[in-house]
Amino acid sequence: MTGLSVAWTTLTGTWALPAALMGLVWGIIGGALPGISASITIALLLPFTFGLDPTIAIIMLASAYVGAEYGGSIPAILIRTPGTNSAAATAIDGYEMHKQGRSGEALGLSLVAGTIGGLIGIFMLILLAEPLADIALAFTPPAYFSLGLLGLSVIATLSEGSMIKGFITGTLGLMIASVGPDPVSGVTRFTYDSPELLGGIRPIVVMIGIFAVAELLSQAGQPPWDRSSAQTRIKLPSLRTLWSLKRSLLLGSGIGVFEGVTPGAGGTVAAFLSYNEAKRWSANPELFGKGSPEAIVAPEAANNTVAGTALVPTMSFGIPGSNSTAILLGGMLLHGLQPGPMLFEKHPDFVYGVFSGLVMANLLQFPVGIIILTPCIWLVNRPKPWLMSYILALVLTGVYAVDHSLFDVALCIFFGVLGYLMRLFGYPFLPMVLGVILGRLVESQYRRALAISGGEHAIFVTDPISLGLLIACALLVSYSLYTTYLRPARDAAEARPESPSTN
Amino acid sequence: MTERTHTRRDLVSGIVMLGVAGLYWIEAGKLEISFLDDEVTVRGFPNLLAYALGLFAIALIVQSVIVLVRHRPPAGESLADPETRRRHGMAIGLLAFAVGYVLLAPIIGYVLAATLLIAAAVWWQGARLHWTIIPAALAGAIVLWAVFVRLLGIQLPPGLWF
Amino acid sequence: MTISRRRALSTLALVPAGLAMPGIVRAQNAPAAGVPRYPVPHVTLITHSSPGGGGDVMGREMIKHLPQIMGVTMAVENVSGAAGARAMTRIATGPTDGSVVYITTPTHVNTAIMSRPPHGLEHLQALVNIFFDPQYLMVRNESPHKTAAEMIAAARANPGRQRWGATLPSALERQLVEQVKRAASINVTAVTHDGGGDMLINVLNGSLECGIGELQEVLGQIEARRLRLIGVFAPQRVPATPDVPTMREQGVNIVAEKFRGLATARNFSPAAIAAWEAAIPKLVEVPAFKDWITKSALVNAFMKHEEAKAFEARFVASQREFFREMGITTRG
Repeated sequence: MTGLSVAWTTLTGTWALPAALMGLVWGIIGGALPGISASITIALLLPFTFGLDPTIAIIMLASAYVGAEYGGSIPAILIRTPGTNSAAATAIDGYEMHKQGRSGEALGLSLVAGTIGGLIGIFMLILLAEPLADIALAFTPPAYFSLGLLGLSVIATLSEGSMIKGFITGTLGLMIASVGPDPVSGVTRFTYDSPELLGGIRPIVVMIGIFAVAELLSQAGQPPWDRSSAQTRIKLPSLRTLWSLKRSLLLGSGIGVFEGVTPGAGGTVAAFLSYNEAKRWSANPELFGKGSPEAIVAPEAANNTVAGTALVPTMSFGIPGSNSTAILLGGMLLHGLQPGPMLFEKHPDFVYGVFSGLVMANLLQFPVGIIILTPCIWLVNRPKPWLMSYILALVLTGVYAVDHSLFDVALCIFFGVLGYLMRLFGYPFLPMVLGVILGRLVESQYRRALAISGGEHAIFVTDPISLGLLIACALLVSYSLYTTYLRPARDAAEARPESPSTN
Repeated sequence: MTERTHTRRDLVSGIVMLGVAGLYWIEAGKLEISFLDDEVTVRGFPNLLAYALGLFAIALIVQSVIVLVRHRPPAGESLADPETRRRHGMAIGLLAFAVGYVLLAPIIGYVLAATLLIAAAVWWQGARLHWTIIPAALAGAIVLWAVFVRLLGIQLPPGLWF
Repeated sequence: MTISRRRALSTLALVPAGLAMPGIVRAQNAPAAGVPRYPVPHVTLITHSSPGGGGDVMGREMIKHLPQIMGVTMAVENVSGAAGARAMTRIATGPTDGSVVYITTPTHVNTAIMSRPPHGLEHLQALVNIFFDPQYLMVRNESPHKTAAEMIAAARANPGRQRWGATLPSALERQLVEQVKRAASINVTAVTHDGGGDMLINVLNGSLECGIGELQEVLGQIEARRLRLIGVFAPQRVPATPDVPTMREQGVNIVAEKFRGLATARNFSPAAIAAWEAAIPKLVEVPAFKDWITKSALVNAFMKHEEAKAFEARFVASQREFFREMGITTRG
């Protein structure tokens, strides 16, 4: 296979290795800083690549993408702040483990899961780029709508405690997503003439607010935590542990492959779906939300897999599936490469060079992660008043950097207050995150589908992919309804003879 | 399936959510329907959301009223409880510093505003008041500034004076 | 979720010194000796697109050659966000000595019309115009329609049945659909998207009969013969695509004026204006830059300051008119 020899030449003869390393480190740092999303990390690196050989430049940018998708999990676990959108699902159990003093274990799990997921994604990209590309093309607007709906249906299971409240915060999330230009007519909604709101509210601003700022506000009144037993080093999972987590790993990667190749869905949805599925298929679903290793492995494997497979539509069609790959695409154009079906035929040296660089970046991620994580753990074990204050400054700085906007900082603080109140009133916030992320996708694809069908709703069931996804969605919701309402009632009925119902 | 201590709060928040739904619905009704619009229109999705939120809010209100009437649960922690008040007070204080940062940053510049934010937050959260707080906070602000401005090339609020 | 090329952030394009990899990053903007010096020694080109976006790429191509022509150093700075509003503020409140210039597209005009940015068109003026970005009508390869004329005839025979793709609702492509509908008296359904890539999928998988977009985004598909261009909204055929007939040739007299030019604050130094008027015609003759123009399928449309101002005034008026007619905004 000539591809292998091209890959070998690229790796040994050029700047590929240092470029991959540099891109990776840059990506991890950018991804780990709150507010600096994967796409921003890549955009920041882009100007540095001018003047580089195109293959080296793209290796560097793609390695930064790999690093950023992983790096986002570090603050998600250590300070409950998803560094990137797709790390939001990791923040749930990751931060729980951190609070239990199991930071090193959580970070080790996310590093290993991320590396494995990343490698699976790259190998899928290398082996199956063409058949996977056809999946992307088969996705019509009704299918995208149903995919979005499937993502939203996770709300039903993510709203621990109260499904009604979960639906309420999910709806609030969708309302937040409705700010900005209408997807069909372009009329601006709920912007009240503010240019700051013209482009809508960025999900990362909402997430940092309801995760991080809310956490800081409620921590302010809590007594200093006891960290005497806390791990101070990263603790890698043993092979036996990994084997026991194989189901979550595979679920995450499987969903990641699928979400990566369908443009527009992306790592965040993949992470949430995987979290949900891992919980459903877990032997210990009750541990989810309380620091379950599976709950870290599944979403991290998923979003790192997406980093690889998202390159399928980007490279084979020139269609970016996310903001990050859009910038990668811009990078390719800047370096005179035209992504599209011909790329593989016209520039095999470039394609295989990039593949080998990506494999390298994923392998490097492991040692680099181990080196970076220990000081990170040390940092978050500083005295509480200091730690919280620096985190507050870091978070507010990161949010400003998203768009150079103090308005965004104020918005983030507002969402922090909202998150604080949600916690006080017992509202789950994950449904809100899903609503914010999926609102625009669901609405615009719904209306696009109807425009295409001439107003006929039948299009959602005549499109086979859409139909399949809708059925999956219905099954998911009814399963959740069953486990939330019917099963406890039945159990209670069975238990009644011994002890009277308490609820 | 709410916990009992939350029932009264559920009632309150349900009523608030009903209000939010109504307000959102009124605002959605003011959106202009353009000639480029489709049959769903610019109002379609927001209206749907308003109805959905209204429905869920009513469901929550009904649920909590039923629980309140049937089980008469004891009141949860109330605001009169000094410990609760202290915790909310701490949060409000921190919030005030964050808001102060947003207001001050464009005037005194990032480094100074961040220094003040860190120092105030450290003091507020119970660190011993000592002159070292200021240089330590300044160091933190400078590190952040260096990472964002120097390493990443992202400008931070410059301020009028600096 | 958006697949648009609108990106997240502003960044200084200048490489912070400490991070440049030795020997790999070359400075490309040193002025040559013996050329006239611009009123100021350093010029920053502001773009609201992020690195890799349209305006950014254009700026970076320009600063490869302009420093030698104008005798200055140059840099591109991305001031993205708020759909150009932030960049407008930067220009309007910046120095007028010639050191800050804005790379424009219709985006900021639409933003100024559709919302109330702190600094709008009344604070800016067109400096010169440089290009038009031609818009193409495209179909997938399996489509039975070989020309735009056939496409339109089919649309006339089946009113309301054809679906034409366009990008963002506020983009020029969307307006072109309306203009074609009016000019050819046909009724087709316009389907908007979140970006060019989004639309491309739906053209390729047959959800749409055709789409309107730019060449750069679909070049790969054209080379692979998955997509065909059946018409261009330009006054003449575009050098990059000599085989694609204009819409005018096919009986629909519509020309897209998606301009790419420069703008400045009001009270911009007259000496600087004159220098730009002299420099741009030289720039578009530089062979390497010419290659880039052809490759990017841009059309030379140089206009001096006064002409560009008049053009912009006409463009703004027609946009206002369109937005008001379509009920998108009642203002202006």
